[in-house]
Amino acid sequence: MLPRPRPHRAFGVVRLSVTALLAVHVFISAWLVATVEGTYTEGKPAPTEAHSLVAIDKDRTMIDVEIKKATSFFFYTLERDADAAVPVSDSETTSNGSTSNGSSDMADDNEGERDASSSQDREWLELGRQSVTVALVLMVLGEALMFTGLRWRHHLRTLGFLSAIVAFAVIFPASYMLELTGGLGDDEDTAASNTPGANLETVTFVHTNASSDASLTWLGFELEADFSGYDLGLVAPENRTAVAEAVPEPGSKDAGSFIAFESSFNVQLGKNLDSLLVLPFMWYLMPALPVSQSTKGFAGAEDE
Amino acid sequence: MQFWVMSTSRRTPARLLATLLLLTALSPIALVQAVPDDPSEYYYGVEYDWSSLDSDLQNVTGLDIQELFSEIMEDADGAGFNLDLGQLTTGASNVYVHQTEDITPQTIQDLDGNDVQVWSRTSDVVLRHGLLSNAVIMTDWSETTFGSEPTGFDIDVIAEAENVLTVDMLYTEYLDDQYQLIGADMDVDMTVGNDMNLGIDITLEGDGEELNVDFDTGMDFSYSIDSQAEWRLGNPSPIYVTAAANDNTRWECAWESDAVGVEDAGGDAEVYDMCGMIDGSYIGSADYNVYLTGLPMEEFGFDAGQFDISISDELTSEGDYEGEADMDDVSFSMRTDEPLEVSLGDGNTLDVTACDSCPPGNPVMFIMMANVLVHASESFGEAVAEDFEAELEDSMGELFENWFGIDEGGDMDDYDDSDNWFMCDNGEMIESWYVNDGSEDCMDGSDEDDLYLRGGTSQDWNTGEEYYSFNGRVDATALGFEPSPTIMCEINGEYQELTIDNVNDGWDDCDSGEDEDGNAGAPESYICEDGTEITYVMVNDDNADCPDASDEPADNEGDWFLCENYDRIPFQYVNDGTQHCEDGDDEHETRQSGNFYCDDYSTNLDFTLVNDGTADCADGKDEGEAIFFLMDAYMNDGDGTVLASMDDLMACAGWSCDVSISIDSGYISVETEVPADMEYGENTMCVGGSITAPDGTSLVSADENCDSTWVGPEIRDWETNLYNGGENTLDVTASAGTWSGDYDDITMHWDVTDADGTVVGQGAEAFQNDQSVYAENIVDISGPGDYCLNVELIENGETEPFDTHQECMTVEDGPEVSERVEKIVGALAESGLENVLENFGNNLQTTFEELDEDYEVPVFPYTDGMWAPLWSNEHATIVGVGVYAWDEDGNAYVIAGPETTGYSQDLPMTFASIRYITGVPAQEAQEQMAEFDDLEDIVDVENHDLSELAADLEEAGADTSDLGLGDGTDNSGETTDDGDDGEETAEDIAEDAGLLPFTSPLTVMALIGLAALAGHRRHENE
Repeated sequence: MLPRPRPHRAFGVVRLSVTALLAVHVFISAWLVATVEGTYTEGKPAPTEAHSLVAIDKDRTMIDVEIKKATSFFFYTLERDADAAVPVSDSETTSNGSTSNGSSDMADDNEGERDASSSQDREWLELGRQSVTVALVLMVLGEALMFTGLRWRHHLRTLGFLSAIVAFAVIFPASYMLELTGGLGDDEDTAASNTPGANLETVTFVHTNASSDASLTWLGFELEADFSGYDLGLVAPENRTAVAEAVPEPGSKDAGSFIAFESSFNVQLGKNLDSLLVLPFMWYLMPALPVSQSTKGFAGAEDE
Repeated sequence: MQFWVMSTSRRTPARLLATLLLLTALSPIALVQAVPDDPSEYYYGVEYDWSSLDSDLQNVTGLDIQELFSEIMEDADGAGFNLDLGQLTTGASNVYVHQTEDITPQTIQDLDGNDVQVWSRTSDVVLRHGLLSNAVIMTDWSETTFGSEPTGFDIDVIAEAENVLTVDMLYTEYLDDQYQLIGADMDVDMTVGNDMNLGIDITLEGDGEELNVDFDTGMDFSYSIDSQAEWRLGNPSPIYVTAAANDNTRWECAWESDAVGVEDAGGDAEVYDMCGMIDGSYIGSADYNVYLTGLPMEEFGFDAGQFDISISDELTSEGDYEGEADMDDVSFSMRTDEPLEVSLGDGNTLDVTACDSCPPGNPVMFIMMANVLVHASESFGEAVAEDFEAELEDSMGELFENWFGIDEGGDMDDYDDSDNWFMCDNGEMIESWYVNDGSEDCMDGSDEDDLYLRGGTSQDWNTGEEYYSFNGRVDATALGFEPSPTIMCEINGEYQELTIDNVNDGWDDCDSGEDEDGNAGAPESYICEDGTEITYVMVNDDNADCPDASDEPADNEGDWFLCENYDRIPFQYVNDGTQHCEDGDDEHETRQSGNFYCDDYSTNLDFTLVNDGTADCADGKDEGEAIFFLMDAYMNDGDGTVLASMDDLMACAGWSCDVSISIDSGYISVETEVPADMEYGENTMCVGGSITAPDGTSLVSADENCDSTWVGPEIRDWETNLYNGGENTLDVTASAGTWSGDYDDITMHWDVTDADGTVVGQGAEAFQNDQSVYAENIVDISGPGDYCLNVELIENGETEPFDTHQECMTVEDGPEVSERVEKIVGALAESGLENVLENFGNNLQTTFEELDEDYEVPVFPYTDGMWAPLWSNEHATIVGVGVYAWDEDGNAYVIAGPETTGYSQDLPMTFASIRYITGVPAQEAQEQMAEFDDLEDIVDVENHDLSELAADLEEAGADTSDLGLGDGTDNSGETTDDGDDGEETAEDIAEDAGLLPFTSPLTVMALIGLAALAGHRRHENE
C-alpha cells in the first residue's frame, strides 16, 4: 500500500494544475481512432487490401484511406454491373410484388426525410464533441471546488471525473456510431449500400455467408467480419435469376462471380485519454484539506 | 535525295569533281568480307544538361521564356491582380556506347541447332536520363468596396515532376568468317519512372467568410523490364556486307526460304532474310501510387471531414517468351557524297559515312532491342492480366460502353453474345461480322457461303424512286472461274497481290505505278509461272507469251457475239434458231448486216457458217461459247409476302449481263424494277436464291437470309437525354432525323413522366421538309424521384409510333455546399472579378499580338546541316554520331560529334548544349554512370536550387514563405509521394502526443507521487 501523505494546502494547487493540464492534454488529442482493415481473399477483386484510419479530435474528422494491390479491384469495378439486382428472396417477392419495387418505395420514403435527417446526421458527432467538452469543464470545475467548503465537493469532483470518462468512453463513441450509421431509426446504411462488399447481399449478392465476432480491446472494441457470396454484378443478366436460385456449378463461368471479403473494424479511444486515469491516483497521493482548514466560513468538517 | 541536290549546288566544280571521284572509288568496294585481323574497341557518348533548356530554346526559336513570363505577369498587374510564375528545370540525359570485337573463334548454335563457328562483337550501352522540374503559379486578388467585406482569392499552385529512364544493354552479335550475321544475344534492363505532385492552396473570401482549401494530389509510376534474349536468323545474313557495299540497302524479312537473297542494282540493294526467332526470359515489374489529400469534404456537403486517399499496387511477373523477329522499314541510306574522317578518341582517325536513316548506334542492335522490349513487355502484360483473372478486353469494353453512354438498361439489354459470334464448322469462334465478308476467316472457310444474298433498296437518280435490289457474294471458284496470275506491289501502303489484268492497262494501280511498263520502278522482266522470263511489256498484251500463258489474265468470259445494237449475247446463241438480238442479227434468217467477219477483219464468212460446229475462220472465231450462268432470286417480308423475285437472270464475269460477278471479290449486285414500298420504321427483307448452269445444273444456292432495313428518320439516342437541371428542374433534349432525305409527314412527340406515370412535361416537333428535328426544354418537377423521358416518332395520320425511345433517371439530392461556400461564391460573382479577368485576357491578346509582330526568327549562321550516325565501312557498323553544319561560305562545323577532319568545332553559334565525348572520357563517364540508378545520382540536384526560384518570385513581389521552397538545401519541393506537405493526416492526429509528448501516464503518476512525498516531507519538517 502506498504511503498516503497528509493533506497540504499546496496539494490543491498541484491537483488543480495537473487536472487542468490533463484536461487540456486530452482535449487537444485525438478522442477516437477507428481503423478498418479489409481484404478481398477470393474472387476477381482479390487480393485488394483496403486500410482506413479515422481520427476524430475536438473539431476535425480526418480520414485516411489506403487501397493497396488495387489493380484487380479496378478491373473488378469495371467489369461488374453496379446496378445488378434481382429478386433473390421469395418472401420479398410475395410481400412487395417485386424486390425492386419494394426497394424503390423504401428509397422514395427515405428521400423525403433526407433533407431533415442529413443535417441531423452531421450533428451527432457535434453533439458528442459538445458532451466531451462539457464533461472536461466539469472535471476541472470539480477539482476547483475542492478549494471550497462545499459539502459534496468530493462527490461532485468524482462526478465530474466520471462524466469525462463516460463522455469519452460511451457518449462520444456512440455519437460516432450514430453518425456512421445515419442516426437512430434508419433501417439501412445508404452510404455503405453502394460499397461493394457491404450491405449488397440483399440485392446484389446471393448465397452469402457472413459471420462476425466482436471483442473488447484496451480502451476500445474490435469487430471482425467475414463475408462471401456470388456477386450478381459479375453474372450475365440472363443468368442472374439462375444464379440467385442455385449455387453455380464449380468451374462454370458464373462460379467466377464468387468473392470473399474479410474485414476488421476497430474503435479505440485516443491514446492520450488514459492519462485521465492518473487523477484518482493523484487524489490519493495528494489529499485535500478538511473543509474547516480549506475554507473559513463554510460550515461542516470533512475528512479525506 | 534532297540533301544531295542542296549540297551539290553550293560546291565548287573542283570540289564536286573530287567528291565524285572519291565516291566512284569507294562505292563499289565491299570492305568487309572476313574476320577482322585485329579486334577494335571504341567508346562514344552524348550528354545533355537540361539546365540549358531555356537558353537552347531561345537560341533555336528566339523566344525568351523568362521574358514572356514577365510580360504575362505585367499583363496581370495591368488587369488588377497579382500573378507570379516561376519554373525550374534541372536534368541530364546521357548515353554511352562501348563497342568491342572478339575475333577468337567461338561456337554457337544456329536456329536449327547446328553448331556454327563465329566471332563476335559487343555493344555495351548505358543510358541515363533524369529530369527534375518545378513550376509555381501564385496569384491573388482582393476587392474592398465601401461598407462591405473584402472579396478576393489567393491561389498558390506548385507542381513538381521527376522523370527517370535508365537502360543497360549488352548486345553481342555473332558473325561467321564471311561477315554474315548468324544471330545475337541481348541482356537489356530498362526502368522508367515518373513522379508528379501537384499542391494547390486556395483561399477564397467574400461576404465576411473565408474558405481555405489546401490539397495535394499526384501519382508516381514506374515500370521495369529485365530480359535476356537470344536471336537466331533463319539463314546467315549478308546485311553488313551488303550495307557496306551499297549506298542504299533495305533489309526485309522473307516469307519463304526461296525468297532469301540479295537484289543488287547499281548501289541500291535489298536483302531478304529469314528473320528467325527471338526467345528469352523476362522479369517485369510495374508499380503505381495515386494520392489525393486535404480535400475539405464537409464544405461540399459530404459527411466526412478531411479525406485523404491513396491507391497503389505493385505488379511483378517473370517468365519466358518466344516470337518471330520482326523488321519494319529497315534501311541503310549512306551519304556517300559527304565522306567524313573522324577521330574515335584513341588517337586514330577513321573514314566514315553518314547513314541518315540509321539510329545513333548499330541498327541491328536497335532492331533486336525493339523486338525484345515488345515481346518481353507483351508477355509481362499477359501474365499480369492472367493473374487478375480479369478479361481485360471485357473490362475495357465495359469502360468504352460507359464512356459512350450505352447504358445497361438500353441497348445493352438486347446485347447477346451469341449474336456477335459465329461458330465455324470446326468449332472455331469468329466475330459474326466476318461472316460472308468475302474472305475466309475460319480455318476451314465455313464462314463463307458459296452464295450469299441480302436484300436492299437502290434509288433511281432520275426519279428519286427506291427499288428493291439484291446484292451479295458468290464463290467464283464454285462457278468454275479461274483466278488470274498476280504480281506483288504496295497498294494503299500495303504490300499485296494485284491481278495482271490490271498490269499495263494504262492505269497506275500500284502506289508507285510500277504495274505499268515504262514507269519508274517498273520491272524489266516478268517471270512466268513455269519460270520462263519475258519482258514486262508483254504482260497483259492479249498475246500469250509465256508457254503456260501465265502472262495473260484467265479467260472467265468466253466468247460473246456483238449484236448490231451493241448488245452482247452468248456466242452459243448464234444461229440456234431463236432470235436473241433485238434486230435478229444473231440468226442468219433474220440478219440484216451481212456476212460474219473473222478477227483478221479481211476474211468474211456467210453467216450460216457461224456457230455451225466447224471452225471456218483461221483463228476459229466463228465458233465459240460464252461463260455465263442463270440466277434466281426472291425477296419476301419475313411473313411470306413476296416483295420481288427474279428468274433466269444472266450472270457472268463481264459487264454485259444482268448480274455482273467480280472474279476478285465475288461481289454481285442487281437491281429489280419493283418499287420499294416500305413503311416508316423497320422493314424486314428475307432473301434467297440460286445460280445454275445454262443447262439447268444447280451450282450454288443461298440460304434464306433475313435483314432489317430502316426507313425514315430515327430517334437519335445520343441527342435524346434527361439531365438534372437543379432546383427541381429537368433539362430535356430530344432529337430525330436521318442522314438523307427530307420529311414532312412525321412528328416527334416527347413527354416526361414521374414514377407514378404522371406526365410532368411534354411537347412535339413536326418535320416540315426537314432532315431532322430537335427539341430542348426545361421541365419543372416536384422533387427527387424517378423520371423518364419518352420519345415517339409517329407518321401523321397514324396513331402507332414507328420508333420509340425511353431515357430514365433518378433525381437525387446532391451534396449541398456549405453556406460559407455559397456566400463566397455569391460575393465573387457580384464582384469586379469578371472585369479583371476580361482585362487580363485583353492584355494577353495585346502581348501576344506584339510578340507576333516583334518576333524575329534567329539568324542562323548555317545554311545546311546533316544528321549523321557515322557508319564505318571498315567495321560495318555505326561508330559514333554527329550533327554537322555548313555556313554560306562553305565552312563546315561539328555542332555535336567527334573531331572531324575539315570540320571546325569553333562554332559561330551553339544552339544546343550537347556534349560529345569519345575515348577515355567516354569510358570513364560510362563506367561511372553505369553505377547510378537514382535521380539524385544522375542529376546534379545541388543545382536544382529552389531557393533561386523562391528568390525570383520574391523579387517579383510574391510571398513564398508558405510554398516550402526551402532555403536551397531542400530540393524535393513541397510535396512528397504521400502528399505529406505538412498538413496533418489522420495518422498524425491519432499518434499526436498532446501536451505531454515525452511522458506516459505512469511517468505522470510517478511525478505526482514524488511531488506528494516531497510535500509530505516538507509538511513534516514544518
